[in-house]
Amino acid sequence: MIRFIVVRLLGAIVVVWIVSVVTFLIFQIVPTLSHTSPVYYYIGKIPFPPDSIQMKALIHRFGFDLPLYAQYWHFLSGILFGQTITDGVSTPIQCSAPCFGYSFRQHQLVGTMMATAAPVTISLCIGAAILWLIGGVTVGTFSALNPGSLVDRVGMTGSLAAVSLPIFFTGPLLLLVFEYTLGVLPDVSYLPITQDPAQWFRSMILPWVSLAFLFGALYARLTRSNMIETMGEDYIRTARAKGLSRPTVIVRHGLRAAITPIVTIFGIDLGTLVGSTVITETVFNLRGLGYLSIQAIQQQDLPVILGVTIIAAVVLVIANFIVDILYAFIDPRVTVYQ
Amino acid sequence: MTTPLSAPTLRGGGTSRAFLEVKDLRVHFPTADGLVKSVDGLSFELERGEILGIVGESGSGKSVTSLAILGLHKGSNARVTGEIWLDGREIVGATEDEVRDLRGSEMGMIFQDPLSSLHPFYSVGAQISEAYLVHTKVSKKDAKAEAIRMLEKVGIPNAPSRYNDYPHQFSGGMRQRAMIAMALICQPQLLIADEPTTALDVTVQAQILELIKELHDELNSAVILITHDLGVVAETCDKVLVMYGGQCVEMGPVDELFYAPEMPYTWGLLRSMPRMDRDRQTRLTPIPGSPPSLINVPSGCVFNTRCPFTDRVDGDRCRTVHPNLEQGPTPGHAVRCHIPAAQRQEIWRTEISPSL
Amino acid sequence: MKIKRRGIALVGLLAATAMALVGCSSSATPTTTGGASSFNAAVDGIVNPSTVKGGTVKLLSATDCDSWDPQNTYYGWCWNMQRLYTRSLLGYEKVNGSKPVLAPDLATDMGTHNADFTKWTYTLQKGLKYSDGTDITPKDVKYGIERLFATDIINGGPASYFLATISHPADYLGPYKSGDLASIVTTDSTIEFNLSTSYSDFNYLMAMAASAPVPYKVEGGTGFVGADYGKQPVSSGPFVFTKYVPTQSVTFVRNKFWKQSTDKIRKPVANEIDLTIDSDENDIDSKLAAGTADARADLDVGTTLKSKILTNPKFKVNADNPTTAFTRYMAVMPSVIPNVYCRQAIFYATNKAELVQAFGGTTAGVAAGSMTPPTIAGHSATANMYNSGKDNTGDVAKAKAALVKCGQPDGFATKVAYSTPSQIAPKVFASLQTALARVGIKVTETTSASSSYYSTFIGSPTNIVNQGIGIALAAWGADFPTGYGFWNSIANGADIVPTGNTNYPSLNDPIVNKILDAAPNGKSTDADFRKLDDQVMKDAVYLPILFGKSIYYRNPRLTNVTSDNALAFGLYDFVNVGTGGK
Repeated sequence: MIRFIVVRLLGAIVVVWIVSVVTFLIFQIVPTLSHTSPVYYYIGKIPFPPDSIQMKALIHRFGFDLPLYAQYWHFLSGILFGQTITDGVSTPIQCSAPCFGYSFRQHQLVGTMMATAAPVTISLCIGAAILWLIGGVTVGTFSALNPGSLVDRVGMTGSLAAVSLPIFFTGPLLLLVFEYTLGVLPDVSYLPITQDPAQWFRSMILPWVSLAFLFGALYARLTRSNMIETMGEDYIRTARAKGLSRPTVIVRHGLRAAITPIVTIFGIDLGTLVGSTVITETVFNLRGLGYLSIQAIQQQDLPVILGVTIIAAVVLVIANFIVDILYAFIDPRVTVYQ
Repeated sequence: MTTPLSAPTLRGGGTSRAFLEVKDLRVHFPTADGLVKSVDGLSFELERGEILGIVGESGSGKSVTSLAILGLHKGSNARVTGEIWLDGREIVGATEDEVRDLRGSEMGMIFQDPLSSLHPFYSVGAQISEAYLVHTKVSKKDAKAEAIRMLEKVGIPNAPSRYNDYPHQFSGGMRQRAMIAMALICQPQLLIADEPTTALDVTVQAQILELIKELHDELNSAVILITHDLGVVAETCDKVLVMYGGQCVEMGPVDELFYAPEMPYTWGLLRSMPRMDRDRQTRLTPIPGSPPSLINVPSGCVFNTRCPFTDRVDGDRCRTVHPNLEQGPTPGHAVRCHIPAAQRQEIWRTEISPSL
Repeated sequence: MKIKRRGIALVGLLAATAMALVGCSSSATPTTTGGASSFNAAVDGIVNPSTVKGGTVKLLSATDCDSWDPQNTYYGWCWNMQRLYTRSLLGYEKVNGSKPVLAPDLATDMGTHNADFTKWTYTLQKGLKYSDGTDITPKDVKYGIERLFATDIINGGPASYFLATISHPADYLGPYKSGDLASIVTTDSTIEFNLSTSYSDFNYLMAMAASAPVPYKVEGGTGFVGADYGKQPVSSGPFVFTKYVPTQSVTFVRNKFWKQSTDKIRKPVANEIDLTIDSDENDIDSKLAAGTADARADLDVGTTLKSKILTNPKFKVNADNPTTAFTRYMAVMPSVIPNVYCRQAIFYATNKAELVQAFGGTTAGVAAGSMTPPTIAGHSATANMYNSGKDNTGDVAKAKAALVKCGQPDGFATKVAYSTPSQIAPKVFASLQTALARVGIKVTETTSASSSYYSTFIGSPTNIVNQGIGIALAAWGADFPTGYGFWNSIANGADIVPTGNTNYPSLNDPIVNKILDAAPNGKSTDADFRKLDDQVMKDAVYLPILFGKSIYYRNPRLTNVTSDNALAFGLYDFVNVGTGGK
């Protein structure tokens, strides 16, 4: 088991490293392709001609005149060890590891921006994830246990609808109904849970529901098909033959086995979600990582885009890693067949 | 009609019923293609201490019968009619909850493939403890001790450490022993073994059968051994029931069936058995044709389409009239066939027996 | 000068639509406190004139300034805020109306220059002090301007004007790396600028906040030097920049070392001005409407308040809708459409009324008949060489006639370029497409990301030809209100470059060039620029669509309110604003 974990961990590190290289290269290639100096992606429109001494000074300041590998090392060592951002005149900015650089547009360390935005996204993702996992699995289980019944048909048709409705439809619709028409949930802005749990909850409820609606549908359908398959297995027959009660058979024996692929997908979904809540955050005006990335893309603020990309990739890789390990614990057969 | 299961148990003398009594059991499954008549009018009796072997080809209804006895068709779309009396309690009409009480405590079952029949995610020991805890109010520790004791009893070495192992960490034979431990831990009076040795090597087969017999002796339980292997039947059973097309076609004491069988299907089974004492060059004689569709069961005698002896019967009674199960001369030996009894015995003596 | 783009959040849009659906609830209507307050009163005049001193003005903005360092900021509203706490050699005495007036600020007078406008000398008033009591010296003025050359550290301001005019060694990179700039000569009381070229508009550069003095080498003190100066800039004006919490708030209190006798262009009456940054634009609108805030400092009002203003006379009386020195236009490229009559056909066929609607309606812009906007020399409200009909929907007959003259009676096809992302540009394109299709001119779109649109897409003459771009959407507001300031970068034939070109149609008209070349020598008059405008229109390379307008709202309790059309596209001139003492 230890060897299994170590191997997986090494694999995860390699993947993250590759992501850092690829991301870095993309953001070197893009300016070249659009015939713009990479300096633009740091400080915005520059009114200096390309060959002027001003441009050269800026290029030198940001290290774009260094060879590619040196630039990459500077970028990587910043993340690993931290770096000091200095221009030789102003107060040097201490950027501790992991350092994702400095956003000259926002006058802030990218790390700080992400640290402020991350809790919003994490609140959103985890809350929605819990909702959709419980909701989806419950609906799917009930459907699986009564296939063809009204419960099943309603559940599955509802799931199909939920999966087909994009979040930029369900989100505003929920807002219109609950906030504007019924006035049940007033427009509250996000506050961290440590500051005001009640307001945190109120500001998160509608985003949670919109997101959970979308994903829960997938999980309901998946649970249904897994459960139907599992309930037909021989060991279910054995469990019943032992005299176990129906709930015990369904949950301890059935769901326990059916849930394993769902756990895998859940981990990966959650990991991917952290990097892709852009639409939800825009619709509900939540200043999370998604909002940050959209703002950065609109402003073409490269350090922030780089930072968010790497973080999203790291989260996904970690999620995958955890899911791999978890699977080995859930399914005792896994470690043997490495 | 139901008998409340809380009625006092009537055992042994004092009742006309056998310990296990199956009366005209029918299990039909409605499907999109039609009504599948898996079991169509099966009746037999079994006393405690007896081992009954149910023999037949795949699809003859053997497993469906055993599941019906355990009441495992309840909640599915199967239509079960007839009566099943276990120790004075009627199962077909009982509710799921009532029957569930009996499963594991009064009747246990072991299945063909122990690898797929044990839950892959729980340790073997935990599954056995679970079987115990369902019917007995004890602490988890006591249940574990009992489970270990049971594992030792079924011959698994190093039981305390093997308690924590998972099914895939056992060999085939050990797995089956563990299954037996799990089925018998509550000491049920009826054990149903559905092809317990089919998935195992021959050497292991013998060990398992030994084990079943041992435990049966100890508990004095009734055992139903379902198999398609006549050798197993010869070794182990007291009574045999031959099933074909969802019906019993011949039933009787084991000796009768091997030395005086009277139904053409049984003859066919015996002839298709490879035997050590026959000349190796002789070909095996399989029964021509294939098992009947349980949706379109042949009219008349269910075996008539494959029976080489239909010409021994006048007219086409074989094809039109459904024969009843009739008692033969020897007590307990019943046959379902239109060929007159004397003629059957004749054919056995002269045509079949010599060729075996 | 940059106008900050305001992205309309989906929620904001939804909120507006939802409220329209549910029906506007009437909030508390403000009471007028007396004084001559009416719609548009601040555009040309002063609303509620008063000498009553004291009080705190409460301003709101949706974002923080790009920088509070006078050398490092390029937003119009931030230049407006600079008027509170920085002074330059010169300044604007009159900011409202259509003719802003320069006047001396730190200098004793408007300064002197030599005959060919290459040497400019100013004398500093005596006894001027910063908010910490130290003297303001010519050396500080020089140091502030030298900082503009340190472009690797300070690059957010209008440095290009100074780089292009003040003589400097080719490798001069500012005081931190290259030390002293010899072409700026100072004495105890005077400062002299030696230019590398004639530049008659130099006084306008001296009126920019970018020319504000910065304490020589000390700057804002330890830790507030170079790129950090903006966190604690030193104040030379009537207010002191204090209590700055980035992205949250700034407080301006009175500078006890500033004397009214030394300042002709400001007459502050308030004690304090508080700027609070509130990223929720709906919240800003509601506070303005309720009267709990005095004005918005960075942009015009949001959609909710705008609809209130337009429909409720009680709000309208406190609002102003000035026309700003900002032209939206289309560059029509001779390199792709060589025949001038074919280009004229486009001019005639365009439906300007509909385009104005696409940009936001008559409160967002007024249809323009020529390129020069108000406040710029040569502006004419009546000039309209390609009259597109009485209601500005286009003159189809004249357009068709022009097509015949150019030999394409059935029209032709070309491409229209615009930059993305944009919510408005696709609508503008669609309107243009329909309008031109009336006369057989079929247009398709081609777009480019904003990062490269101006620099390499339409900023490259070769790319324009390669892509077949016949028409390009653009906009331009001059950084200072002179004819040269407006026209030189977009129409001078001598300034065409392969990338980052701002003379998009590569106009090289000798009549235009002559006027532009004479201007830095002070030899071009208002009449000359009128002629230039006409000539450019004759060349049919710039099709003006509209002059921008904005709606601003003032709290009725405010006194001395007027619009700053010189620096800030009509935002109110906050340095002079009062609250009636409260």
